[in-house]
Amino acid sequence: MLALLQILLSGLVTGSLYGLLALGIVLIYRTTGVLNFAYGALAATVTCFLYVLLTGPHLPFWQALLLSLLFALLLGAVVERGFARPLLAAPILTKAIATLALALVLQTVVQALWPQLTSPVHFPTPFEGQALRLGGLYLSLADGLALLTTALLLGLLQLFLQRTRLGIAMRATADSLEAARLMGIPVGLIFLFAWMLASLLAAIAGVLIAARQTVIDVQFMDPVLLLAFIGAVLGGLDRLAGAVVGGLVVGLADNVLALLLAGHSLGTLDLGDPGIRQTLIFAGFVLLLLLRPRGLFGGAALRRV
Amino acid sequence: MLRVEGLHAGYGPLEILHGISLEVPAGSLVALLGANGAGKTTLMRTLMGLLPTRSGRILFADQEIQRAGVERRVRLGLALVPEGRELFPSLSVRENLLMGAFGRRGRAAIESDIERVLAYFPALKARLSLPAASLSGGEGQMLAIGRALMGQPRLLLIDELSQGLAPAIVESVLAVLLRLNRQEGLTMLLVEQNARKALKVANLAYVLQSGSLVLQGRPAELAANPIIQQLYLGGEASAEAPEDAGTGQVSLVSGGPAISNGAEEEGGNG
Ligand SMILES: Nc1ncnc2c1ncn2[C@@H]1O[C@H](COP(=O)(O)OP(=O)(O)OP(=O)(O)O)[C@@H](O)[C@H]1O
Ligand SMILES: [Mg+2]
Repeated sequence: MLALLQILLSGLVTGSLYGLLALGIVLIYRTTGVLNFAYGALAATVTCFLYVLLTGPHLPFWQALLLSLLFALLLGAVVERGFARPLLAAPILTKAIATLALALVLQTVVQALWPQLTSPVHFPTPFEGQALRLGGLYLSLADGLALLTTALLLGLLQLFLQRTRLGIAMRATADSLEAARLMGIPVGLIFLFAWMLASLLAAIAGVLIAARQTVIDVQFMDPVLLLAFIGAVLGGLDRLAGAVVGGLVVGLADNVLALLLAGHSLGTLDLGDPGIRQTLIFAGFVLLLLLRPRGLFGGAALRRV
Repeated sequence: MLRVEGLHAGYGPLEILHGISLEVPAGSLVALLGANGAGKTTLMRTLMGLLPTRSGRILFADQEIQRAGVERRVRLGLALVPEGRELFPSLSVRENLLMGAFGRRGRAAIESDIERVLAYFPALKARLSLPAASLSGGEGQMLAIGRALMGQPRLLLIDELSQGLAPAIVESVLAVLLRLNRQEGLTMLLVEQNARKALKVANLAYVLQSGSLVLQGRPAELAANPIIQQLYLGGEASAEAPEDAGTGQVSLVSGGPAISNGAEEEGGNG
């Protein structure tokens, strides 16, 4: 029983991180129509930047983190202006493919600037090795922070999108670009802001993931991004709350599968291998998409206008 | 209030509007008639700045705005109720109204304008917190108009008021627009498929055909024009065959930008 609870707890942690990433993916997709396969590379770039600040000039962690988050905002702005804006009118598939190129560019630049990150390195944080005990349950400090941070961010984002003028304008722009322009909403600024916000979310998710893995390289976000994308699509790709739930579902499935498959083997195949788990999740995801093409919650479109 | 001089606009290589000149006097309700594909929507979008002006001038409240962006035109007091309404489907009715006031400051004034819109369209009151996607066609059009009003426009452009609406609803929405025009002095340019209805409420009307204005004048005179009767009012056919009426119309193209009823007399001769 306790083992199951423990698994559910770590499922919650990974799930909330997938959810955070899925949220950024959906935010960008909804406002600018870009299926952003470079989202993991954005997260990795900022995390690598933080690593360099921590290991090069040996800045204090919080100071380096603050600088990295500012860097994330800047990176989001640069990517929006230099990459997404010129492609605004392009077909959705073109934009999606272009993000693959963007991911490559980001990874190449990181590797060129900081070659040490080509192979796995130790990512130092103040939380390493510390843990909380909740009854019989074990929660590493990094995991606890991940839970707390994602819950806080989701709450703040919800408040922002529902209650503030800018947040509502962002949803309005996502709903109808043309109508948003008619209202005098500066849609160019909205796009810029959406990318900056999404980049910030990616950076925070990247740092949290790096903190729990304690080892990173330039590609450390790639496997995570696939699962986050699955979460986003499960959530229906067009609703923010759905993205979070989709991420949680994927995280829980990942951890429960890990428990079920651990120690089992099929002939010479070790079922406990993470690759097998991912393959199973992906297969389940494809099956689910065949049954419910609009995601877990995608009902009939409500458009009666 | 609005003066358009020799306006050319279109999409890509395609020119749709071939030199439109018209005037919307302050306080008036002007009807813009024309068959499907005549270019009415294109004209509205160009006036708002959603489509670029290729040549010609748009003067609004004595300012040239043909190069201004949409935001600036909205700030100057232009608002459009677009064809197909273009609501924000996932936003609540209230949020849709709030977005209509996006460029404005002052919470209290905005709240009191929401009350004003609800007084004009009481049907929206019970729907305030529901997503706009859940509205019926009539309620949707009311919201689209209310949302445009939230920007406190000086000139309201309305594209296809009655599209997809039951006649009774068209009447009630039209009644509200008339009140706004006659009592509050809101200037309007109304695109309407139902020429009979439009000519009944307008002070001035223009007829657009294939991207050019072919007739203009006071509604009563236009309504009496046999060609208008035949093409837009479904009146009894004259001695001429429809094809002749079509070619006859080309000769009606009015020359200058001035508003005149000369076109109508030409029509009588043609
Ligand atoms: N986005 C577009 N790209 C290219 N051509 C367009 C576009 N939109 C409209 N057109 C063309 O421009 C012409 C005028 O269209 P417009 O929509 O302005 O007509 P309309 O008078 O509003 O017609 P309706 O009564 O059907 O609304 C038509 O020939 C149409 O095919
Ligand atoms: Mg039209």
